Amino acid sequence: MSAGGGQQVSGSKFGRGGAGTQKEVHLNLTPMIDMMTILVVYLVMSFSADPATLANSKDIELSRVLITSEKPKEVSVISLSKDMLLLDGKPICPVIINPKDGYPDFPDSVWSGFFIHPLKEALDKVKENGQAIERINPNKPFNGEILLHADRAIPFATLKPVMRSAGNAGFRQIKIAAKGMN
Amino acid sequence: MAKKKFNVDADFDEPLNLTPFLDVMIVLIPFLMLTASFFTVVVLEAKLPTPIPPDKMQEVKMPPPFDLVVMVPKDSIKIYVNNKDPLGPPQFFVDATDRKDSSNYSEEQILKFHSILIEIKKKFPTEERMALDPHPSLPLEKLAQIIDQSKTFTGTDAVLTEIPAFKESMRLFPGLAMKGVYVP
Repeated sequence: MSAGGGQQVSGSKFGRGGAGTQKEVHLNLTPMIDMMTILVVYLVMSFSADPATLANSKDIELSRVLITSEKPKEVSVISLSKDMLLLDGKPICPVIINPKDGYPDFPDSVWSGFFIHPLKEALDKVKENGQAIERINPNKPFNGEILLHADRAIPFATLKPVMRSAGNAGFRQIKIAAKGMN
Repeated sequence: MAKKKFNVDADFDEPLNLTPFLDVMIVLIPFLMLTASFFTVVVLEAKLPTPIPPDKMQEVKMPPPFDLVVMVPKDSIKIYVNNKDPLGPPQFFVDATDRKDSSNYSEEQILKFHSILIEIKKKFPTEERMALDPHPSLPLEKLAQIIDQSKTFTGTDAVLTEIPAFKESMRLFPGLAMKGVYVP
């Protein structure tokens, strides 16, 4: 990347040349443009389209783990923050604080004591789509895999109904997203 | 105007105007830097218990030949191996009282848990199943740390790495299932 690269600063007076001495100074922008081009290419490459990165939100801080290095596949993502439950980026229901125990919980209107109904219905549709794709293309089988992208402080009591709803909809392989520290 | 456009000699002297290019770059780079994530996202498998079909119920051995249960209250990690008394004391124990209200375990605690699993694996090298029973208040990060340490072996244990059944997989207890998330 070395096209052009000379920006002219004309008429500037530099040094102690005395009155009347004028020098034309050319600011060489080539190294800066080279560096910027490399940086943009690197950033665009790292801005990958994997599901875990797409669902990354400022409200969700992932758990940190030391050993695991398995990368996420392209599957549907359940995101659970302290305020909202989402499926593939679409809001399912709000998360409230249960006054009894202080844990994040789901409103009674969506919660049957066993499943989160809107989540189960949405997952049923995802499963139907997955099975329809499998019928058309047997190379892409529906394997009941789902990615759970939840904040590291969310207690197990809040995760349980989400996992149960996923399991009941046919998603028994739950993958928990985490930050790999190795 | 058209005459000037095709005057090749005159065009060569004009410097390339880089200002719009630099303007775009200066906007694009901060945007990409703010939105990019610089950590690696990994996934931990958390299988749900699979119900046994009624026709296979008779094949199930009770009590199971190998029963490893990791119970995780807020302040400790309790490990039961083939324990006949579920309310009795655990065979192995990791104290985490100092991390009771923290969202994660210390490195020392998690390494102790890993070394306990290595000791169990030495006695039962062919077994892969493990049941995880977390307390409702347990934060996800602690749960993730336990799953992380339970599946893959790290370190250099001379005895364990010489066991042929273990040598092939180098995995501790990958058949981990979550207790309390029963799905009919």
